Amino acid sequence: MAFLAALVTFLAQATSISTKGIGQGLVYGLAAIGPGIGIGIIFGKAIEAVARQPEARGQVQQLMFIGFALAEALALFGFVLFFIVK
Amino acid sequence: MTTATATAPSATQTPPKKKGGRLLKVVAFLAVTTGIAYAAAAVFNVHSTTFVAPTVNELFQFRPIFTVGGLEVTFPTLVMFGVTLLLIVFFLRAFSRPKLVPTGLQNVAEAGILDFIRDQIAISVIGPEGASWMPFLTAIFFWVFLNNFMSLFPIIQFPVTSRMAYPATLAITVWLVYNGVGIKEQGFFKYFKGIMFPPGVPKFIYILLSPIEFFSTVIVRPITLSVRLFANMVAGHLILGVLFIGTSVFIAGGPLGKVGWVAPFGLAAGFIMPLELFVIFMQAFIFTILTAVYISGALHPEH
Repeated sequence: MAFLAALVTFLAQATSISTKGIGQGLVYGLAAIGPGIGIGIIFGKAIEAVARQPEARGQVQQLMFIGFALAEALALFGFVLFFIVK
Repeated sequence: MTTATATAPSATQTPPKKKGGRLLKVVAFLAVTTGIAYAAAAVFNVHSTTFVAPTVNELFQFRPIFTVGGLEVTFPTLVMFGVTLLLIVFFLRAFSRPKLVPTGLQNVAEAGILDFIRDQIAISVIGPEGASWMPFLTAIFFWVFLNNFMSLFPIIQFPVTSRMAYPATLAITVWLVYNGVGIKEQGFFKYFKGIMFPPGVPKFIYILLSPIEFFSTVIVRPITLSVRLFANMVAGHLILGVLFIGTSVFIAGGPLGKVGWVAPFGLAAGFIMPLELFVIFMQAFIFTILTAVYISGALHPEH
């Protein structure tokens, strides 16, 4: 946390953007890392599964979209926090 | 002799036109013009800074049009009622006099409901008893889809579901339904025991697992369900708003801005709109399928 705070103040001094703006940007950027990796894994594995067993495409797709939606929700929380952060 | 006859037809044929070539030219032209505009802006110290990105308040706040009994009616509310009315009229017209061999509206409605909602969502997620959940899922899917689609509909161009009240109400309805179904099917204590104490776990893990399971099933589910839809629509509308407002501002602006900025903004808007259509469909689909998953979890406890 101390590192983050130092980073925010440094960036705010280096650029002309307010600390609030940089904090908002960081919130979304940090929140998008995990879901990004997760969604990549989900779609990659789904493609692998369909390539191995093309007849299971329908089922795999459905599960893929459920997993995708659950992982994506975290990134969207970050997006909402972007507006809430003061 | 044989080689001559083999090569002769290929030589006479005109070479096939490359389809990618034209697009490449357009992109190259845009890149060059953008580069020239940037260079000119840097050299002559001319900036097209008249464009200010629209804020959330500007894009999503509406003044009440009129009040009915203390309730302020805004533009999204009117659009929502219009969409609901449209759906009611559509399904009444489609199914008021059902025929064995469907024609016209009934054909469309049956294709949408039977092939998509019933086979793709209800039966395949919930199981054979999913057919009785079809009306609920159909209503949710079409309502969410049409309200999302208002994002791209000409003149309206505002996704109704990007106001938090609508997805929140839907999510609360879904929450009531799946909890009600679970309690009705399994009984109150058995339902919550099924949620909090899933079988096949070492005893001491329950200290950690039970609160997490209860929290995620009862509290987090409706929040994620509504926030997912809401945030997707807000993000899409923000991107489209920035791109279109940028395009119009630069069209009205000076010649430098016209050359350098209108093309990228307009092109991006053109590319984003099909993507937004996909997101609109996807979010309605995900909302419906997650509803089906929650209902299925309440109907069939883990063994």
